[in-house]
Amino acid sequence: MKLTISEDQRELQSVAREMLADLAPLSLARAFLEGKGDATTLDQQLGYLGWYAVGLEDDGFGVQGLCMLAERCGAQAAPTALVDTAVAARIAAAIGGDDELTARVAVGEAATALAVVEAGADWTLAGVEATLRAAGDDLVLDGVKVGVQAAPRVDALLVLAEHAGEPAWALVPAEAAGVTLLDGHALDPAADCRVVELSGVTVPAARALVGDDAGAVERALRVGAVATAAEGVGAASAALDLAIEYAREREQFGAPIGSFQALKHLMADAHVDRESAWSSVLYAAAALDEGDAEAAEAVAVAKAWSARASRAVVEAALQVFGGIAFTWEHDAHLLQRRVLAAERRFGDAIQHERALGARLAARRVGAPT
Amino acid sequence: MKLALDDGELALREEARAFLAANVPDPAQIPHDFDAKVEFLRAWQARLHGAGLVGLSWPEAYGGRGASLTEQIVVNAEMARAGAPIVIGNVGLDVVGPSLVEQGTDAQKARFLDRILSGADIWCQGFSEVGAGSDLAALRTKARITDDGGFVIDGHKIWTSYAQHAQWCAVLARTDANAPAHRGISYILVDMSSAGIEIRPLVQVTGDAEFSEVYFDAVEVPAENLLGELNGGWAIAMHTLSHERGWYGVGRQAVLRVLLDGMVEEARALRRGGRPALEDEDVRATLARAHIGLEVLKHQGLRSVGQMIADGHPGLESSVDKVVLGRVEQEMAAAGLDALGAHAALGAGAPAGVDPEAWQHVYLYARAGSVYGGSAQIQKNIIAERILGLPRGAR
Ligand SMILES: Cc1cc2nc3c(=O)[nH]c(=O)nc-3n(C[C@H](O)[C@H](O)[C@H](O)COP(=O)(O)OP(=O)(O)OC[C@H]3O[C@@H](n4cnc5c(N)ncnc54)[C@H](O)[C@@H]3O)c2cc1C
Repeated sequence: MKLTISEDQRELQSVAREMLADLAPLSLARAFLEGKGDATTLDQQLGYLGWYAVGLEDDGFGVQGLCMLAERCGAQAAPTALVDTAVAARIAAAIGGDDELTARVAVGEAATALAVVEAGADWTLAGVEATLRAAGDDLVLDGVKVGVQAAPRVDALLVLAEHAGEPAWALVPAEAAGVTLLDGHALDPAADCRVVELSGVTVPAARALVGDDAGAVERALRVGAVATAAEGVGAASAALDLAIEYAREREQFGAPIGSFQALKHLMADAHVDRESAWSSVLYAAAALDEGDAEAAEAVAVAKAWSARASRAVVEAALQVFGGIAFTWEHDAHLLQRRVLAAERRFGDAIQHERALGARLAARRVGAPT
Repeated sequence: MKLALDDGELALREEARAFLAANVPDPAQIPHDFDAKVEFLRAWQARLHGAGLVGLSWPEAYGGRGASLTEQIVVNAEMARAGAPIVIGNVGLDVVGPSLVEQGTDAQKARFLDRILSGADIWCQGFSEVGAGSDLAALRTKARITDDGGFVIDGHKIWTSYAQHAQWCAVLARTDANAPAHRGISYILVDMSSAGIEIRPLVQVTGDAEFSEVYFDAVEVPAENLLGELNGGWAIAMHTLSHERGWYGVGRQAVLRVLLDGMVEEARALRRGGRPALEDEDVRATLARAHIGLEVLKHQGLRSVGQMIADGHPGLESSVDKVVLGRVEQEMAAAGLDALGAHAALGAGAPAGVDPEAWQHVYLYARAGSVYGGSAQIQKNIIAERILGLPRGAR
């Protein structure tokens, strides 16, 4: 009963640190900010390195390994479809069958974007207005999705839609007829979001998940929630590291500002926040890897805590910089944007806290665990 | 498998569960009279020791089981869950004992360790002084060295938990007034029945007299009661404090978990706006956040324990654990008060199943979480300078 990581995982972490610093320097996120981002090389390399598939098989890395990669993507505010692809792979696996695209997505060979949020629907999956309707042997998909990350660069979209009054999922090739990508400007430019219009898109039944596989979907979304928590922690933590470096150099009143106790304690609190958040992420990921009965709860805990902690960390970092980090030229806001984006995806703190409150109320004390 | 209990941990849990199910006394049996209560708790510790459930992680040679730290944690969690009385000898078990195991002479080990386990000797820790709290190295209690290598101690300690019923005290005293502050301190084991010791209990805000002032007036201590090297006391004290911080949080978490679960039940029994408080969205959210904090405290603790086992000793991260503990405990205590609504600050006349006074005690006690064992600010100084590498400066 302890929370440790293996040598292999440590190795993955350090390779990821090096590779992503190289493939996705903050200048890449900045290029997206300026509207001229090109992530072709990054996308290719992620596929080539096999990172989309980390944790899918019993590879010794697990969801913890995925979180380590996501943490690094966050730290570089990297424009990747890593987490969405990991989630889509799990839902595609639940679809099963021998459709070629579904099979490629299921093993992490095809970068995929999740299309979940709508003007009136969020990560609780309630209120979805996109529809998936029978049309002969096939299905047909209609609706408008927002905040679809990396949409122009993925092989496929996995779309949440309503079918017979239940949430259903449809896998759609990015190039399919009836799919239109519209401007999707959002706070984090490196998320490369689009609004996606789906108009009469034909979906073969072999690419749809309808009916009662809610368990598989919930498990997949949990992987997304914990990996996104990791991404947020990574971004916030990178901002804190920049702030610490700055505080050692910048002088006022004849002394480095990092020697002032008010700033020390601000940064120490931020360190406590990032460490505790990372502990909760590692724990929840391990709970998923180990099939722990309390995994759902651990994920909600990690996502809620990390969301609040990551924001506190990045805000502390910004304060350390004073005016300089308030400029467009400074890199801190690239990380700040990523923190805020990650905080919302796969359920914000309020959504997960509410779910935990309901669980607490439903639970009876004294039941052995 | 890592989070899941391993076979050894599972077996121990079953063993502890069975023992506790058969042996945990009805709380009504615990005497109110303070001295009688101490005797009762001492007997309880002796029974736990008889069952091999205290000091598990101590080496077998010294009466432990040579168990892993995680096994001890599992057992402690079972005790909390079973509503077992507190282990009165915890300063000896968790703080002084491990230092004796590492630094003690064979004679000291033979003399003290078994009696710590059985509760025959209760220990207290005489570190803090009026003028030396956070700045512990400023301590002025003096131990003059006699011709035969023994000591004569003069001074005044304060906030000494359990002093009034302790047989022994681990005293930090200055043995070299001319050395730099940290290098002139020794760690001396003092018999509390020695002539010249006066104990004045201090009543805490909770109403309990858990700590005391201890006055030393020419107290004679033989040479054999020095632990470790002469003037080497600082390192031992720091080592034990980090040991204490290193896994204390996980154990404390188990106790807090039981309290929070109890608060959920109270919120079911209590009415707010005419319906059960637990159905109020804000109350639920407040309790949910407290619950999240407690879980994260556990996650943080299990990660640190994992690191501690890998490294063989606690690291600087224990300062992070301590800050998390203080914060989470205080937030949880406040959440409970908030859930109690109109009854939070009352006592008499509460609905059945609701005990505001018990929770007020939890709340009042929680304030100490950011003070004892090195205050939150001191931990943050350590984090900032020694983990984050920020420059030292004016304090
Ligand atoms: C319940 C309880 C049990 C205890 N049990 C024991 C015991 O068994 N044995 C024992 O020896 N001691 C014990 N203590 C004492 C405890 O270790 C001290 O209270 C603690 O170290 C703080 O010292 P102080 O009370 O003198 O406060 P001070 O050191 O005077 O601190 C007052 C305030 O100033 C802040 N401060 C001090 N220095 C700095 C700094 N450099 N930077 C920023 N802020 C600073 C502190 O954080 C605090 O907020 C106990 C305390 C409590 C509350």
